[in-house]
Amino acid sequence: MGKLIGEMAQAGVLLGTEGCLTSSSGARVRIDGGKFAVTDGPFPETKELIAGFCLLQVKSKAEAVEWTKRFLSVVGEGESEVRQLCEVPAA
Amino acid sequence: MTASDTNSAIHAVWSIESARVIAGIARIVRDLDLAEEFAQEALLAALEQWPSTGVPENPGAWLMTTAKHHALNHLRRRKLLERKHEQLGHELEVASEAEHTVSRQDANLDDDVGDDLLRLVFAACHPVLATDARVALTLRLLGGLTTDEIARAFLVPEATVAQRIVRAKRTLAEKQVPFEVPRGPELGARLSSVLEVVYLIFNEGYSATAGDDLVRPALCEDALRLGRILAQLAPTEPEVHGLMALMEIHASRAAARTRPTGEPILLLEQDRGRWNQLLIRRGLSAVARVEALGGRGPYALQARIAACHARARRADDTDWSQIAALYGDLAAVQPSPVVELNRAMAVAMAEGPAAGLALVDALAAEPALKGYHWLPSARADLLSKLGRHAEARAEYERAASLTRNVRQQEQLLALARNLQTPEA
Repeated sequence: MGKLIGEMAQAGVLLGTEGCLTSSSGARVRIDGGKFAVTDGPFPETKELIAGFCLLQVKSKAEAVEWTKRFLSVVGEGESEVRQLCEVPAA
Repeated sequence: MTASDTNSAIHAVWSIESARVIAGIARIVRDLDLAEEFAQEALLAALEQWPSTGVPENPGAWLMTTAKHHALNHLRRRKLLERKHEQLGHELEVASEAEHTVSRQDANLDDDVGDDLLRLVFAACHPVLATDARVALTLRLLGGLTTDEIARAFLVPEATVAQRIVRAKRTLAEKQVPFEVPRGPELGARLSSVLEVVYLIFNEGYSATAGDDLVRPALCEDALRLGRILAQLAPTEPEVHGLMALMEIHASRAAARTRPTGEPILLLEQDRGRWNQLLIRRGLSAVARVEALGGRGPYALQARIAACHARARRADDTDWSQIAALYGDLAAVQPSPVVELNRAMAVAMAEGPAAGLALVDALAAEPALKGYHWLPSARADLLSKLGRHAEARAEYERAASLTRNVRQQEQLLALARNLQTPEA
């Protein structure tokens, strides 16, 4: 993974990346009808847990998808979601 | 995967890999035109084959290998045709090295790739080339932009850019510019030639307005990407990090610097809540690297000035004495009346308008500032703060007469009018 992150940095596209610890140190906070519910981790019931994120500056969705494929090739298995950040319009 | 999916995947791979492929081939053939041609042939081969074979597991290595085969075939053909033994010694050596590299595929390639890219950057930004040629060649070879995109971004005809690129490559070949990373005392001057190109690209994008073709503002991102690549390739050069910090901090203000109408908002009047915190954080950590490396160059100092603004949560929190001191340092390494004017305004903020006005007045006779509208508008600002309204009004009007930018003219005349009716 270090090699891939190095490649992203060398290509000038990497803005930031972070990985999460297991969900046992996390919590889920919900609001429903104005009432908060806080559930401590771990969250065994879910299939999909957020494991981290990687913020890239690329020119196209296709380029983001290509980096994601390279990421998943290193991970071996799983799913990543590619999302575009909204650019803040002028004041 | 549909054909168009594969197609867009190929172009995505290409935009990631093209600079590295061109750089790798350039080392073998020592000619940028040929290097680009063989890289293009590898792209064509991918477009031909990948739709049926699928995208290979390591597409970058595939492109590099394919381009290298073309390059080696070329060298062999030339060997057969020319039979000039003395000239061939070197090429054969390189060819056998390249063949060796191809056989190793990407096993150890990564170590070489960085050096190849750096060689390519220094060649594309070589001082024998005019600035606009350096810009076009850098965007084309390292930024992966098409000639058409470069033309649209710089508002010139495509033929002009195409010609610039052709001529630039020819000049590099004719002057036999070596494809290598400069060392020793030459490095500093060559590096500043590279940084100048990147900053120029950034500023071209930064000066684009809302209505412009999207490729213009995108130049900022191209420059940021080039800067990040450089920072990776030359991590011990403080000026590289200085430029990077300067660009990231400027870019952090992008959403706050204009009104929807396109009117510029001055730094001190910007809504700092709209500044991009991620870019500020990146910029400040680049400044920290500059400081750790003891950077005192022009980009390092400008970055540290930008950082003073970025650190202030409110305009009132700005550390103006530090900014004034940094402008003083900047004037020492890069003497310029514009820098002096900025220093004067920082001193005015730190010590009061009278202290600033004394420094501005000392610049009044400066021939380089004749016709520079910021000088009278700066004087006007200080005079109005000192209550000398009639003089301030005259200076605003003079400033308005010196700028051709209609929006700026309107802003300056409005400031003059406001002084006319202080009781209103």
